[in-house]
Amino acid sequence: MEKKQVSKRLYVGGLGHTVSKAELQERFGKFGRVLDAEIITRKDDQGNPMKTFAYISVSISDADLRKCMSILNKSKWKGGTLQIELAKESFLHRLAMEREEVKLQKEKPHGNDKTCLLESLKKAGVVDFHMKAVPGTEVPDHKKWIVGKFGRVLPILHLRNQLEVWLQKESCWFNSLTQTNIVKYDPSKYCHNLRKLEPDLTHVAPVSELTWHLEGRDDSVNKKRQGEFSATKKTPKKLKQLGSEALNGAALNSSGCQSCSTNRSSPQLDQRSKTKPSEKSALPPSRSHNSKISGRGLLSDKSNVFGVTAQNNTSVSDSDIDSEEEIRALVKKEREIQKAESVETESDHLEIVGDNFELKYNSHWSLSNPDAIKRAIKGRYREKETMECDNGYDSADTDEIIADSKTPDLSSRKTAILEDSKQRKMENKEILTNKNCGLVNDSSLKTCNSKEYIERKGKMKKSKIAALQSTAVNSTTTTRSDSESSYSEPEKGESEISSDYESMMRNCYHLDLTLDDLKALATDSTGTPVEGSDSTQSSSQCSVEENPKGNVVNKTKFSTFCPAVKKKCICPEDVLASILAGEENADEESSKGQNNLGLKYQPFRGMGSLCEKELTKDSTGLKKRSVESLGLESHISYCGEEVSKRQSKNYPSYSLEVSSKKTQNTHCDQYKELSDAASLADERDQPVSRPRLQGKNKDVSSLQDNQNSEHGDAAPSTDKREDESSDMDSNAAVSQKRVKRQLKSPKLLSKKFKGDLCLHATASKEPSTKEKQLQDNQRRLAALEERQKERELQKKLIQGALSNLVITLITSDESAPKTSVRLFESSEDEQDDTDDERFKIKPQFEGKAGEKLLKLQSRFGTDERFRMDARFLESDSEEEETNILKVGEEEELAAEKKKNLQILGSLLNINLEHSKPTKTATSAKKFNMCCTTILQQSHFSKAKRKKKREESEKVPEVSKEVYYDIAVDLKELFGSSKSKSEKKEEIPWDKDDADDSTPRDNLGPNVGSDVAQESSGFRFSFFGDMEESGIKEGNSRTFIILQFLVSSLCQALWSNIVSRNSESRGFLETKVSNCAKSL
Amino acid sequence: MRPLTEAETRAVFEKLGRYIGENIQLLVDRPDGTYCFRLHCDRVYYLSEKLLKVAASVPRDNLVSPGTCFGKFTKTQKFRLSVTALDFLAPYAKYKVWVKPGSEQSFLYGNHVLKSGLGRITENTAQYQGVVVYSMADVPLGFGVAAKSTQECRKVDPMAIVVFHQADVGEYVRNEDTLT
Repeated sequence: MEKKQVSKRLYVGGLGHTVSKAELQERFGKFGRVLDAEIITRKDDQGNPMKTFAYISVSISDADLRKCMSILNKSKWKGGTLQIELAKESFLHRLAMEREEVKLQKEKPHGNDKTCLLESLKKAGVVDFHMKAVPGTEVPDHKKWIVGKFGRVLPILHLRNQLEVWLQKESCWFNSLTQTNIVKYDPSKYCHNLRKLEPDLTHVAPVSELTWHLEGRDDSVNKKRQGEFSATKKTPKKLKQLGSEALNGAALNSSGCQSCSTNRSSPQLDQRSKTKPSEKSALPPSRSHNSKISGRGLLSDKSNVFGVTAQNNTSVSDSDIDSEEEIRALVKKEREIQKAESVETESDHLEIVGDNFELKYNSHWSLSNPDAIKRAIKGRYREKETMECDNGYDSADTDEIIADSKTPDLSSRKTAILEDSKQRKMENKEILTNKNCGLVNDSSLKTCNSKEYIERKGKMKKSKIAALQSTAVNSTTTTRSDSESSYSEPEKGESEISSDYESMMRNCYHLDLTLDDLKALATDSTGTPVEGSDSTQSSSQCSVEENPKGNVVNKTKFSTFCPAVKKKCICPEDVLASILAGEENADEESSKGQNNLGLKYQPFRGMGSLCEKELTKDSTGLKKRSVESLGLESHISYCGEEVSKRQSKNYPSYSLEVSSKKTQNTHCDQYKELSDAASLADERDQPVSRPRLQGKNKDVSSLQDNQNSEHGDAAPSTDKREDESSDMDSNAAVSQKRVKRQLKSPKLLSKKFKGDLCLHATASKEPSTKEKQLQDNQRRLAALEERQKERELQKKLIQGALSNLVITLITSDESAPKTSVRLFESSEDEQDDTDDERFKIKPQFEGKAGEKLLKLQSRFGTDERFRMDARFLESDSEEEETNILKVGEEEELAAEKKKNLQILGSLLNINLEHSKPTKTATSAKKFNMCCTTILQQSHFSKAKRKKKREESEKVPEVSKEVYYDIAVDLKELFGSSKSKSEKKEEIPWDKDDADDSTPRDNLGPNVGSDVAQESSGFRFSFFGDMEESGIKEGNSRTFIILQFLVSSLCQALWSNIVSRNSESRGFLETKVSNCAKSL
Repeated sequence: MRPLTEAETRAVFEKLGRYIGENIQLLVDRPDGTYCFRLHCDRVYYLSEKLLKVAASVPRDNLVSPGTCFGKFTKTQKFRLSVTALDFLAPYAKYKVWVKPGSEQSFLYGNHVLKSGLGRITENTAQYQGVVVYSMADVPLGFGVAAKSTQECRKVDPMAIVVFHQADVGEYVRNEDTLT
C-alpha cells in the first residue's frame, strides 16, 4: 500500500506565524519523509504577518497522503487552521526534470552513434572528416568510409535509382546506374567531379539578389511589379537567356539552388510567351518545383509539358540547399506573381494578324472565292507537273499529270473526253488483241489517267468515275463538233508515248483534221441516238462500258478510215506509182490496196482538204500508217457486231468506211461492185453528178435524194454483212482480201474512171438485192423524210437568191455579187447532197425570229463554227422587249447606284470606275458576240478567197440553176426514164473524156470531180495554213474542171433540148451563154 | 419607303466605311444583282431590286422591314448601325478583333472588350477604327470601335478596354422587340 512513495509537493496554508520548518517537518514526517519545506509569510505594510503558508516536498505514498490530508486538513495547529492541498511542482524541479529528460533523450540516439563514430574515426586518424591520404584509400577499421578528393572522408553510398539528384552533380557516370535498383556509389572514384564550395557558401546571396542583375525590362508592368516582387519580376527577362540555355541542353549544375529556381520559372515564362504546342515536346528543364509551379492558372498545361529533368533536380537536392525554405517562399511568391501576371503574360499571347487573315467560315457569297479554288487547282496542277518530271509510268497520277501538261490549252472537258476516248480505244485494243504489252500498259495507264483527269477536271464532282465517264462520253457526243479542232493536239501529245500508239494517234489526228466535215455530220446525225444511249449508260455501268466502246470504235474507225482517205487524197499519181512500184511485200501491198481504195473513195468524201496535208508527207510514212491502220481495222473488225451495227446506224462516215471495206472484198470477187461504189461516189459528188443528171429541178431533187439515200443505205447494209464476215475472219483474212484487191487495183483504177460513169444503174441495184434490203428501205425512208425537210429549208434559204437569179438569167444581166450569193447558196446545196443530216430543219429558223437568225447566219456562211444559236436571237428579242418594259425602273436604279457610287467615291477619295458587271449575262453575250465578230472577220478573209474560187466555179452552179428552172418540164416530159437520159448523157461524157482527158494528165473525170468537191469541202475543213496551197491548186484545177463541166453540160443540154424540148431551147441558150461568159 | 437623300447616303456610307472601307462598293455594285438602300421609318434597309418591287406593294404602315436593316437615323440625323448589318459587315470587314472564349459572353452581354479578353487583332488597327468582333472560332459576334491601336493593345493593362461595344448578336435576344 504505502510502498510506493512519490515525491509530492504540498501546499499548506493557514499556518501560524510562529510555525517553523522543523515543526512542519516533524508534523508531516509522520506520514512520509519530508524532503523540503519552505515557509512563506506574507506581511502587510507595517510588517505584521498577514498570512503564512508553506510548500512541503514530501515523498509520500498515496494512502499516506490521503491519511495526512484527512487528519491534518482543517485541523487547528498553533492558532491556525491547516489547509493542505497538492501543489504544482516547483519550477526548479520541473526545469531540472526537463533538462534531464532532454539530456536523456538527446544522448540516447545521438550521442552514442555519432560520438562513437567520431571517436572511432578519431582513432583511425580522421580529424573533422579529413584525413591525409591518397584518394580512394579506405579509412582503417571503417569499411564504409573512404578518402576522397581533398582528403575528405566520405561515405560509400548505396543509392537507389531515384537518387539521380545526387548523381546529377557527378553527371556522367550516373546514367549507367539507372539500370539496377541499388547502386553502390564510391565517391572516390568520382572525386574529380567534386569541387570545394566552402568559399562560395560564405558569399551566398539571396535568391532575389541573384535574379536582380538579370533585370532589363522597363515595361510599366514590370516596374509596377518590381516594387512588390523585386526578385521575381525579372524572371521573364531572365528566362529568355536561361530558357534558351535550357533549350540547348546546357546544364546549370552547381550554380546553386537559387539560380536554379529562377531558372526554372524562366523557361516557363519563355515558353508561355512563345507557346506553341509543337514546341512543347522539345522543352527544357523543369524539376519537381516546376511541377508545383505549373499548377498555376493558365500556364499549368504548358509548364507541365516541360517535364521533370534531372538537371533541375540536382540543384534542388544539392547539399547546398540549406536555403530550401527560401526557395519555398520564392516559389510561393512566384506563384502569386504569375497568377497576377497570367493576364499580362497572356498579353504576350495576343495574336496580331494581317489583313489577309482568312476566316474559317466561308458561308457568305462574297467569301466563296473562285480564285482561291482556281489557285488550289493550279497548285495541284503545278504539283502534278512537278511530279511529271519524276514520273515513271507506273502511277496513275503521273499519267494524269502528263495529260494535264499536254493539254493545258484545251478546255478541260474536251481533253478529258479525248483521253477517255483514247483510253477506250486502247481498251479495245487490249481486249481484242493482246499484241503489245506495252500498248496494254499504255492503255491501262490511260484509263487511270483519264479517269482521274475527268474526276478532277470534269466537274470537280466526287461522284463515281464511271458516272463521270458516262458524262464525259455524253459531252463527247455533244461537244464533239466543237472539240474536233482541239482534238488533234492532245492526241498528238499522247502519241509520243509509244510508237504503236503514236502511229495510231497520228492517224487519228490527221483524221480529225481532215474529217471535220465527217464529224460534223456524225454529230448531227448521231447526236440524238448516241446521247440516248449514253443516258442509258449512266444508269448501268456495263452499258457504259459498251457504249463508250462503241464510240471508241467509231473513232477508231475514223482513224482507220483516215489513212485510207489520206492515201486517196494524196495525189493519185503518187499512189499509183507506189502501188506499181512496190508489190513485193504483202503488207505493203495491202497498204497499197488501201491506197487504191482511197483513190476510189476519194470522190465519196470530197476530202479535198486532205490532199494538201498529205502532200507534205512522205509516201513511206503514209504506207506505214496504212499498214498500221490495217491492223487497227482488223482490231475493229474484231469488235462485236453490236458495236459495228450501232456505228453503221450512227455514222454515215462509218458506212462510208464500211463501204470501202465492202468494196475491197467485193472487188476481189466482183468487178461490178467497185463500180457500184464508184456510182455511189458519183452520186454523192454532186458537181459530177449534176452535169449528168441535167434534168434536175428542185422538185426532181427529191428523186435524186432518193437515189442518194439508196446508195447511202446500200452501203451500210453491205457494211453489216461485211462486219459479220470480218468478225468471222481474222485479220489475216482481211489482209488477204486486200492483197487480192490490190492486185486488181491498178487495173481497177484505170477501169474505174469509166466504170464509174457507166455502171450507175447496176450499182444502185446490186445492193438492193442483198439480204437486208428491208432495213435499208426503212432507213432510206427515214432519210428521205429528212431529205425533204432539208429541201424545204434549202428552198427557203435559196429562194431569195434564186428569184434574183432567175430574173437576172432571163434578163441576161449578171452582176457579180448576185451570182456570188447564188453560188454560195448552191454550194450549200452541194453540202446537203453530200451530207444527209447537215440541214435538219432547225426550230430556230422558223418564224419571224427564225428569219432574223437566218440572216445572221447567212452572214457567216455555212461555217460550222458560226452556227447561230437560238440564244443570239433571244438575246436580241429579249433585250428589246425587256428594255421597253423595264427601262424606267432600271434606269432609276442605275442612276441611284451611280449616285451612290459617286458619293462613295467622294467619301473615300477614290476613283470608282464604273464597273458595271451587274448585267453579267448580257455582257457575256456581248463577249460572245465580240468573239464571233473577230472570228467572223478572219472568216471573211477566207470567205473572200472562197468567193474567188467560186466565181471560177460559177458555171456548174449556173447549170444547176438551169435545172431548177427547166427541169419541171423536162421531168414531166421524160417521166421516170432516167436510165435513158443517163445513157444519153454518157455519150457526151465519154466524148468529153476523150477530148478533155488529154489535157488533164490521164486523170479523167474522177480527178476533176475530186477537185470540184475539194473546193466545196474546203469550206469546212480548211484552216489558214492549208488554205493557200489548197486555193492555188484548187483554182487551177477547178478551172480546168469547170471548163470540162461546162462543155459537157452544154453538150448534154443541147442534145436533150434539141431532141426533146425545143421550147426551152432559147432559155437554155441564154444560160449556156451566161456560163460561157462567166467562164 | 424612299431612296436615301444624298446627305443620308453620305452618312450611311461614312458609317459603313469605318468598318468595311471601300468594300462598300461591293455592296452598292453587286455582281449578283441590283441592290439598293431604302429608308423606311428612319431605318435604312438594304434590299435587292426584286424585293424592292415586292415591298413596294405593301402599305407603309404595314411594312415592318423590307430587306436587311442596316441601322437607323437618330433624331439628330446621325446614323447608327444596328447588329442586323453584321451579316454584311463581317465578310468585308477590314479590321477584326477576336475575343477569347472566356470573354465572349461578356461581350455578348453588351460589355466592352477588355485587353484580357482580346485573343487576336488585325495589325495596323488604328484607334477608333471600326472593327468587327469575332469569336476565336471566327463567328462574327458584333462590332465596335477600337479603343486602342494595335500597338497600344500590346502594352496596355489587362483590364483596359480595347474595343468599345457597339452592337452584338446578343441584341437579337435583348432587343428583340426593336430590331427589324
